[in-house]
Amino acid sequence: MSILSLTKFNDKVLRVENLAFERNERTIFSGVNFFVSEGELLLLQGRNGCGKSTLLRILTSLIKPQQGLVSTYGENIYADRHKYLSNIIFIGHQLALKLALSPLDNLYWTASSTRERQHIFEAMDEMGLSSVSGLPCYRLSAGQLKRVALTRLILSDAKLWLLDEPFSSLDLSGVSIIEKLIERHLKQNGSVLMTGHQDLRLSNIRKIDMTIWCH
Amino acid sequence: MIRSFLSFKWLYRLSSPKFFYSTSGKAIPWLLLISVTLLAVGLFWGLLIAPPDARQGDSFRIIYIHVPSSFLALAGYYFMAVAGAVGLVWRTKLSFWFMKSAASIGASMTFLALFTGAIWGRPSWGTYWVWDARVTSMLILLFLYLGVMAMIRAFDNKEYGQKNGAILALVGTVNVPIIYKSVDWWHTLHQPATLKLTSESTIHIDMLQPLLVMIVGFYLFYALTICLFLRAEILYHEQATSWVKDLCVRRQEKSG
Amino acid sequence: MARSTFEATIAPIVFMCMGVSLIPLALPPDSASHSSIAPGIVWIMVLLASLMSLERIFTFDYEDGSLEQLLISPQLLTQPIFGKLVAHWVMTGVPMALASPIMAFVLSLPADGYIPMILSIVIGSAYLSLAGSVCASLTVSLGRGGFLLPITVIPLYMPIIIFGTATIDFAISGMDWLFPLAVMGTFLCLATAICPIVVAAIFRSTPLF
Repeated sequence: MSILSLTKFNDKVLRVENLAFERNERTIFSGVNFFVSEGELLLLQGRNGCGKSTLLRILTSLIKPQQGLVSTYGENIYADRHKYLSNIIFIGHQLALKLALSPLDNLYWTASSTRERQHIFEAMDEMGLSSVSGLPCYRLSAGQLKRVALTRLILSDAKLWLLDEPFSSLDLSGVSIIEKLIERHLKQNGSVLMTGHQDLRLSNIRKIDMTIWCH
Repeated sequence: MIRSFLSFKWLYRLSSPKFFYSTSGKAIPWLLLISVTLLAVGLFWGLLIAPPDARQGDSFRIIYIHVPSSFLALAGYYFMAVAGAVGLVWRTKLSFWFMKSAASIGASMTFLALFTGAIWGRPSWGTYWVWDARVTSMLILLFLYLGVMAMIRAFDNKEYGQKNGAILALVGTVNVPIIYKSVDWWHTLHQPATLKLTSESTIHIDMLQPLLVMIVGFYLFYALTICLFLRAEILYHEQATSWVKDLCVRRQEKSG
Repeated sequence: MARSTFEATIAPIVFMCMGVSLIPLALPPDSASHSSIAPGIVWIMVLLASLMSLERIFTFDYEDGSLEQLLISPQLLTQPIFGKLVAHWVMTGVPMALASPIMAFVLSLPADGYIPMILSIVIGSAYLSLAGSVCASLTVSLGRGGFLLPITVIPLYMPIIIFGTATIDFAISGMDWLFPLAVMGTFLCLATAICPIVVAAIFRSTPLF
């Protein structure tokens, strides 16, 4: 085994090997194998209830799988969980927004990498949220809330984005903003793993259909 | 020998559900025989032969149920909590099932202790219920048991429920002495009960002997019920495994 | 939602005062000497009000995904949890302590009992938030309104109600009330050291989602 082949094996941002997960003695999926390289977008597809969201939560280390290995650059994600977690961002269906606070305050408190208000303002401007930045979140629509949550992508410097249906409840302009964000991230050698049903107008996409692993 | 004991291999072996199932199967007839004999002898001795109490007459004889059940109510809590801790540390399924069985049995023992205490309280204290330190802390023990039982069963994800039950049992272990001490405290802060019954330590030897027989009998009976509960749990949880299926087939062949 | 934050602070106080107003209705009218039972009633109300607000500590965060984000943030979990518990105490325990003189006045508590009562509620309610948070974290995925939280928490609350009422009782009868208060302080110190770590471990080790 040469060093070259070893580095070849270890250069994947995320590698999933033989993953299986069961809940309440029912197997949800098994034999899951895939990888995500740098500068690549992996789109997970599959019918409802086949465990896409669960798989993403396993990749964030929120859930431990019964079987299999999740590794980043050849190292188990649980080996140095702190390092792994500072390198990812996960945005799921639950947006983690406090409705009593304004978008600005929400982002100020959750965006761990930046504490500069100016930076947050610019990011919100990019997301088309500048007019609502001071309103309490309970006055915002579902699409606007989703945009606020996705603003975290701009503020974070994580290399791996784990997105669970990022386009749900977004309008057309919202979708194109996110597509632009993803494109920029990929160009900067970042990686994206997302679930979704729409087709994206992006190059460098790999699609995986989860149905083959489902039970 | 000592090294192999310390390496906990025996624990792993015993914690294999299949091994436990076959071993306990052999032990159950013996446990049944000895515990029933001891309980019968103890009851006969205690209820008919032992002399009546000088002050309380025959009513004291409920002691032969009350004291052993109180012993097991308290000891059972620690059995349960230790099993939970073992499960949390070594992740053995069997210890969680032990914990679940011990919770149900312990709760019944606590109830029995409270119930017989109330019956006994009527002739000796003149009332069924007294908020005495010991009675109150037994009642709280019953609540702790019920909490653990409810916690284990509350979740769809059984492992999660068992883990949470074990944590609650451990938190309770820390609290049982604290609660006991503080209730004791409360007892001294308030007006102490005018009727006292603290002559237990000076019990006459003729009354003590059947009591000891009953206590040993209760412990063995407890072991027996734990085995039976645990075997049911094992069959339920391992129903998908091949050895349980084989067992069912063999049973059917035997009967049919 | 902004309203519900306001409610979270004000509800325990309203609950406490309304509960107290029911007591004289339920007791025989001649027991105007409520002062003997006043410490007990005050503490029962504090306990129930605190129990009511307990599930707020983590349920909202669980429902809106904040807890999830907290668990995958590369920081120590103990610190934000401790922060949340302090916030919960400031939002429920401290207002209750400040509102308790109203109850004490209505129940005609002797003047000597006021300061010990406020101090005992300040210390005791912090313990209630901390000890309760362990059970709240165990039951967080069951949602709101379950019976499991009260049944598991009330045994843990037992020592506090004993020493809380003792503090007020001692003060009324002219005894050294600092002693039971110090015991409560001991409980609080232990709980402060242990509970945030236990809660963090519970969240870390169990699949919540």
